[in-house]
Amino acid sequence: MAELGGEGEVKYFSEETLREQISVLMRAWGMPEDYIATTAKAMADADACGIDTHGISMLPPYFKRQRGKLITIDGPVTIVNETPVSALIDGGGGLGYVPGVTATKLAIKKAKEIGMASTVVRNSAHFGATGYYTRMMADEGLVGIATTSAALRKVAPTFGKDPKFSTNPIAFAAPTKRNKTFSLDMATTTVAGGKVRNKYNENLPLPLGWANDADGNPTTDATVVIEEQGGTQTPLGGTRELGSHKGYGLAAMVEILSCAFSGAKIMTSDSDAQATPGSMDIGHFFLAIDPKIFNPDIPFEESVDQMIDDLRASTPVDPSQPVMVAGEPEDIMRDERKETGIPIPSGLRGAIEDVCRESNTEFLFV
Amino acid sequence: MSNEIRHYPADVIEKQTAAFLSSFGMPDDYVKTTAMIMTDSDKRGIDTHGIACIPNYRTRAKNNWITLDGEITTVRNNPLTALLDAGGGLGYPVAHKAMSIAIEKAQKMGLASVAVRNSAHFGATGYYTRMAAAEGLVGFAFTSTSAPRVVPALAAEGRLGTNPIAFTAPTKRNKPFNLDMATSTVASGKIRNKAVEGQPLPEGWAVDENGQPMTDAAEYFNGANMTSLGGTRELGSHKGYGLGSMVEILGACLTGSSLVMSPNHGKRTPGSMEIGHFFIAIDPTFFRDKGAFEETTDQLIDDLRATQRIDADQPVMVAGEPEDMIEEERAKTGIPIPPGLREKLKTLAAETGAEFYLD
Repeated sequence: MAELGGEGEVKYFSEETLREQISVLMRAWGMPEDYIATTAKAMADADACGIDTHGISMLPPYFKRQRGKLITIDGPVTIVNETPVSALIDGGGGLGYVPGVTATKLAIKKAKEIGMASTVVRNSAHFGATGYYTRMMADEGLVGIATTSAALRKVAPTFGKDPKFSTNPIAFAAPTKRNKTFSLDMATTTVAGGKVRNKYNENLPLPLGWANDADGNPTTDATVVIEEQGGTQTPLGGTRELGSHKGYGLAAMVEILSCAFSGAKIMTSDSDAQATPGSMDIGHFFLAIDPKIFNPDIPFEESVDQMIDDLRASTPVDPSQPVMVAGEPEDIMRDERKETGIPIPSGLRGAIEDVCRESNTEFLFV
Repeated sequence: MSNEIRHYPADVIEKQTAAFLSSFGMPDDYVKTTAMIMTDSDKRGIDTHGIACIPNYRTRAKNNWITLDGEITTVRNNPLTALLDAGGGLGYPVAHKAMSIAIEKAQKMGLASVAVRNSAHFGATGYYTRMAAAEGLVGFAFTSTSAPRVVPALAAEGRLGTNPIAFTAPTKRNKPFNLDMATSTVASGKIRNKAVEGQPLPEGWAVDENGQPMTDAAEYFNGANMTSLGGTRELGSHKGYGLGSMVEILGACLTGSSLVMSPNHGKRTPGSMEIGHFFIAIDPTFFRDKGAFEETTDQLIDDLRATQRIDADQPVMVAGEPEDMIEEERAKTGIPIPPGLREKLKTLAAETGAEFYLD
């Protein structure tokens, strides 16, 4: 969302202020009171750890979606069916945070009781950063896996021209003792859409392997993707030679996990047969495993800590760029932003101010 | 000896594989399972994981790195989970048993996972997840490995193995969706092939001992390493590295096995390579009506295969499809064995007293 930065001034705000701004908007849009705190907490957390594409920058698109009735902001979250190890949750067409947190908490509770559990969600929408939910599981001493489908098709399969998938993220977290949680949260594309947009804004060429043109040929021209000229983003790997069939395979796995268990709409399908009014019908998948159930001779958290230590001790190619582990850049950013506050560029402030005015509610980023 | 590639029916390859394993001292019931799974790789074109592994297994057994008659024991057993100890043996029998237990538990309880420690190479990871799909379940499998030959993003040295992930989903009208992938950019066998053919490596496959991209395939075997999927940081190697770490956590940490980057890896227990595996099975009928999961997955596969092609002659496929096609082809043509491998196996047979069926 750097394109919203413009020439103006960046201002800094506390995580608490971000939560308040999110809350007043959600309230103005008609989100039930008991859903607001959960949604605001998850969204502001993304900004707090530097995942700026998944926090308050989503407020303008959410505003459009709820006004255009693509989502049902007051849709009730219900449990459709439940067993000691599983649950299917219906998101009621609303934003994905409450369904996501509900499903995650259920998976945690069940896994603690019986060793492992899986919960899935259908009839949902965007739920922010996938890693938020797996970190919730790790905070309770569990290994967590989460995936989600997503709405915008922009990734073509290997050897294919037209887009079939979105960025289909997967997250995995493992608890530790002396290190921060191991937290992998990755789109199955080569890069996030925001990175392509940044190059476009700066008139810079894309590295070869990030995107293909409408004919499926590798391109360095960001306009074919951003200006919707039929360009696509590549699956992780970039080209067939460098393993794009693996990124493509992971994206398909994420689609299966998120939609085939829950019955949410698969995004590859052109058919409107599954379309639900007032719902983007996005699906999520969660799996929690209690490592204590295996009770390995080397305690699990100790072994993960050792791995993290060993990986961080790898000789770096460039001494000024240390080898990190998944989650570490976000941990560093979180510490930094605790000191400085969360930066909000003027473009984004302006966009949120517009949304607040149209929603007849208070704008707090002044 | 002629220089041609010869073809053999799958049952001959399986018989030959079994004869070798028996001659190395593997007990009969382990031989049956191991030869079946290894030959399945040969049938499906995963030539790096079939009979071609036999000379390596002989070396490992002779050097007492593995214990071919190691006893498989159940260390822990719960309604949804189990931890097995492979007794230092090759991973096939224990992995087969572990996934069988996971399937049985998942059919009863909805989902299950089984961890294995004290094991060794178990062949193609995707074999075990296909076992789950054959029973209508979704399967995951992960394994740790023996050698740290894959560099983390931004690192100059190898710290992780090729750490594969397999995932299989059941279907009705299509073959199962079957993803089986190393988390490195390419398998080391592909680098070896380039070296044999005197071809350069594509940039992004490998890095030299300083972590710099290298394309000289011949030089690879002098201390170079493989890249994590993505190849370079710019193309997302931190994601492949993250996935590789995830597999290490599931394959090694969760099972109580040693970490591949540990200087003591494979040396703590005599007669064991200390490799760990992890298997998950999930019954989709615990979430939706019977058949609904398969219907969605079939639709997805149909949609993906219907993607407009970049090259009219190169169809868009789904994970598992290339192997399904080779399996069909080889059912007719037999399994090709190149002359170098055949010669190696013949020499080995003479050495171990195994019957030789590939003349």
